[in-house]
Formats: sequence, C-alpha cells, structure tokens
Amino acid sequence: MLGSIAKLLELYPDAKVVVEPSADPDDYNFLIQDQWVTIKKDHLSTKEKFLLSLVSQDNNNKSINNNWWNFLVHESDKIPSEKSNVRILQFEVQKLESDDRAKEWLNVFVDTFDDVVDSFWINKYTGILIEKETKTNMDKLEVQRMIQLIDSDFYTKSRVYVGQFWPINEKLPNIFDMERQLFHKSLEMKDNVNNLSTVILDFLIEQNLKNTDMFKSLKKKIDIDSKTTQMINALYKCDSNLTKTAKELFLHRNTLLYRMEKFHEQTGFDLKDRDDLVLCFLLLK
Amino acid sequence: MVEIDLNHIYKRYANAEEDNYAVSDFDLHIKDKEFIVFVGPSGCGKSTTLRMIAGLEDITKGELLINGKYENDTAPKDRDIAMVFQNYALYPHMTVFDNMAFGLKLRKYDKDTIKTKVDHAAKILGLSEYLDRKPAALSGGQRQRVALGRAIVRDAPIFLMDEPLSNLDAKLRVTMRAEIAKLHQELNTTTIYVTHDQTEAMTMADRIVVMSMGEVQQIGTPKEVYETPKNKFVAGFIGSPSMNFFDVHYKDGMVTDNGGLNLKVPEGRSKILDDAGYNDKDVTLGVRPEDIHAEGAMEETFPEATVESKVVVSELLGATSMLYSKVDDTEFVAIVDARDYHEPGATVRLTFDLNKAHFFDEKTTDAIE
Repeated sequence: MLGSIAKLLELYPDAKVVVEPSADPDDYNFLIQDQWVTIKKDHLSTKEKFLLSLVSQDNNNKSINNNWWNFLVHESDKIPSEKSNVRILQFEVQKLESDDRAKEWLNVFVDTFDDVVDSFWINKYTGILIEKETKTNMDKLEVQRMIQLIDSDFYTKSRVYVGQFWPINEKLPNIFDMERQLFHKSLEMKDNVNNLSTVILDFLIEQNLKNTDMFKSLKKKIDIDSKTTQMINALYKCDSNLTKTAKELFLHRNTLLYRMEKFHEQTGFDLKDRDDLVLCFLLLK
Repeated sequence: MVEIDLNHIYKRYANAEEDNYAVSDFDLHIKDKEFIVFVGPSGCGKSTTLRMIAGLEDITKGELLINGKYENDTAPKDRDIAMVFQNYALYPHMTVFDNMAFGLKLRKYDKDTIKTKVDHAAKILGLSEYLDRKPAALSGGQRQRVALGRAIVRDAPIFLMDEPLSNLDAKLRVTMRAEIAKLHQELNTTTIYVTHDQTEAMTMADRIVVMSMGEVQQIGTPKEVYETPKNKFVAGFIGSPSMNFFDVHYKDGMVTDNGGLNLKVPEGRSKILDDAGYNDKDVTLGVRPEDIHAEGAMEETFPEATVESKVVVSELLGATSMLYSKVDDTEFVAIVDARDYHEPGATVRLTFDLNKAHFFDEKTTDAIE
C-alpha cells in the first residue's frame, strides 16, 4: 500500500500525506494505510473520487455484516423482504469526537425519522439510513433543518444526500450505484443537504462537458466577475422574469437590462434568450 | 466582556473562480454588549459572514479576533458562541426540557446544573409550564422560544442569530422582535443578528451593517444609515416604502427629467452639487416618501419644488395615507397626512422638500456629499 501512496504522489504531485483530513473545502481526503491523503478537488473528476472512495482503506466495507448493505453493493442476491418503497439517505459526518459520539449521533438522527428500516455506519465518516415511504416523510428542507440542529449540538459538519423512493427489487443495487456517485458529487456542493434535483446538472456537466476545450473556453469568456455570475444565476432562478430578477439583485430594472446588454456585446450571449441563458448558467456550474 | 474584530475578511467557496468572493473585505469592530444587525437582500453574504464567526465556514482571507485572540482556526465547539438559526428545528421526539438540555447533556454537565440552566432559561422565556410538552404541541412562537432557550442555556457571551424570525407570521414577528430586544437587555450578550428585513434592523440594532453582493455598503446607527445613506443601494434598501429615485439633469440650481419633473434645488444643496462639479450633469435624485408634502404651507415655502400630479393608487393607513402619483411619465410615492387622502384619478399639488433630498452620482451611485 505504501507503494500505492508513492505512485499516487507521482500521478498527483499536489497530493499530500497528512495526519488529519484537511478541513479546506477545496481538498478531497481519503485514507490509505492509516494515512490521510489530500488532493485538490479540482484535480479529480467525480469518477476518480468515487473510485478512490471505493479502494481507500477507510471505505473498504468488506467488514460490514449487514443484509441491506450486502444487497445494495451486489454482495448478496437476497432481496430484503420489506414491502413498501424505501429511500436511502447517505450521510457524511465530520468532526465526530469518538466512536461513542458516532453511535449517539446516529441514534439521534434515526429518532428524527418516523419509519427507519435500517441504519448503519459504513466507515468512520459515512453511513446509510434506509427509510420507508410514508405520508409524512421529511422533505429536503426538513432534513436540512434537522441536520443543522444535530450539527449545532454535536459540533459536527454533516452532509446528506436524500435518495428517491424506490421499490425493493433486483434493480435497486444498480440504482444505488448511481446514487452513490451522486452522493459523492454532492459532497462538493455548497448546500449540505442535496437530492437528485440539486446534484444532477453539476454531475452531468462534469461527466460530459467540463473538461472539454470548448466548455473551458466558453466558461472563460463569460466568467467576467461575481456580479455577472450573480446576474446569470438570478435570471435562471427567477425564470427570466426581469422584474423579479431586478428585485432579487436589488437593482433597478433598467440597470439590469443595461448589464444584460453589456454582457451581450461582450460575449455574444443574449440572456433574454432562454437557450443562451441556460447555456451560460450551465457554463458557470 | 467580549469584543469582536473582523479584519478584512474574505470568503471564497471551493468551486468559485479566483476572484469570485461571496464576502469581500468585511471590516468591523464590535463593542462589548453591542447589538449589531447585518442586513441585505438574499445572497449578499450576511449569513456567510455570521457562519464564519461561528466557525461553521472557513475564512478564506483576513482575521477574526475575539477579545484580541486570533480565532480563525478555532473549532466551533471551542468558541464561546451560541447560535440561533433561521430554519430552527427541534427534536420531535424530545420534550421542551430535553430539547433545551440536550446540548448540555452531550457536554456532560451534571443533572442539577442542567436543570438549573434550563429552568432559568424557561423562566426568562415564559416556557416554564411547557417543559413537559413535545414540540408538536407548541405554537410557532413557543417553538421559536425553545430554539432561543437552547442558545440561552449555553451561557455564551456571544449570540449569533441568523434570521430567527423569518418563519413566523407578521404579528408574531413583531412580538418576538420585542422579546429578543428585551432578552438582549437582560442577558447583556454581544449579539450579531442577521436579517433581510430592514424594519428589524432599524428597530433592534445599535449599529447596522448594510451589505450587498458580498460587500459592506455602510456601517452606522439606524439614524445614520437612514438619514445619510452612503450610496443609492443603502438609500433604497433602508426605509419603507423605499426612497423615490429620479434620473434627472442638474443645471443652474434646477433638476429636470424627461417625464415632467422640474424642481428648484435649495441653495445649500445646489452649492454642494456645484462644488462637486455636477453642474450640467445627469444625477440621481432621491426623495423619501415622507419628504413629499400635500400641505399648502409647504408649497408656500417651496413654490418652485411643487408639481401637479395625478393620483394613480391611494391607500388610507389611518393616521397617514400613501399616494402613488404620477407627473406625466414620472412615478413616485408620497406619504401624506390622512387629511390629504385623495381618491385615484384626483389631481393633487405635491411639494418636494429638497432640503432633505439625496443626490447620487449616476454612474458610481455614491452619495454626492
């Protein structure tokens, strides 16, 4: 394994071997041979990160003896007997003080849900909660509030990916493969609680476009300053409604129009055109 | 005693471009026991700044000092800070008592101490008789008080509040606003309160920090930011209804616009504009709705700042009425005495008190002083 670290450092000269995971949000951490390795996120694709998480020691989950886990990671064909649909919440919790604290944390987290089928840690930092579909399941915002509450008591930094509800059948492990990748992508996002809707665009762009020369040059062209970024994001958020967008940005409508025209002149993209706006929004992702 | 220094603080998120800061050059000294309000529209960086003080977000650049001690890298749990969040939640399966006690239990306080602290906080907040209830059996206001109670039991000298009232209805918000102000007087904690509601900022703050797009626009007492806004953003954001703005041309003591406005600027004010080199230049004129008058006496004083306008919409508010009016193509709102209420369609003579007007550079939007 030590050889692996050396190889890794050769491939990624910016990578560092550290005692504790880096708290810098720009860094990606993983554990090999009880040593934390830190790499700048920019230098890794989602696929690479996912792969690293699978092979790194801390995420080597062979020791987990749980029927649900074995089913989800294709280790067992035995389909759990649960009748209702379930969703899988994947969570990462940083800054837990001890194993006992981790147990307490999970107990409190579980207690906030109505109908939990199973919950467990898959390594020191990440875990899974499987919840039945009922009429009272928490939505993303409610989960976010709960996480904020729990983090404020435990002084932890937690992130959750809230999966969709799925029937339990042989397709679920494949779906879970995808949800795991989405969870890994969600770890880079600003909000600490995410779901398919909040992650999918970033995920697809990274998979297909981000590193292409075309995308990079276009991005460079439109990424002028923070005001422009805010304008594009606000226009997208407000469905191109100029009055709403101006209000959101606290600008006069005419000032917004002036800035949009200036942007059009500078870049050739007309933000009043729906297709141009969506493209610019995606380029800034 | 607690003093907080935010020295040229910057925040850039992981995926943002090099010079794309969510917060730029935030510089503020907070005095002991002060009630500071960060106010601004959503996305202006106010909550991010608060979260950096709490240690929930890393500081990209700059330094945070608490009582002179460098705290950038101190873990949140080691900062003596209590925080109340915008989307407050309570543990649904725990009683009010346990919700308030939970943080202390995790910190291994003994039972008696926990009981004393929770009882004390419950008494301050009027929650003593609800301690056995579960959150589902409480009203919105009571739940919010429990959220405050969870912070009070920590006995921290610094209170951070992130839009704690935004989920309450309008009436309850007014009540809780007064309760938080009272709480501040009782507990004497240094408090930083974040809101997008300028009324909350004006009524609660010792000093207001007005923010927009990650940058501090102005720091001052409520009176200062209201009476002498540093730029058009502050002028428009503080005050309800908002200040009226007119794109005008200033020449030889008169301001005119294309829409029918033609007003004489009092000598004192025109001198400032002349001295600053704005003669024969386009400027933005700002007039607060309460500085537009319908009384005849005002017209006698400022005959050349009086216009004949048409009321488009009018609202009678009891003691005052609001006249949304128009002079040709120029629209504005005036707050006048209830006696001067006019129905829509009426023609009314309105006088602009330009002694109280504000002028802004058309391009930089800075106040012309």
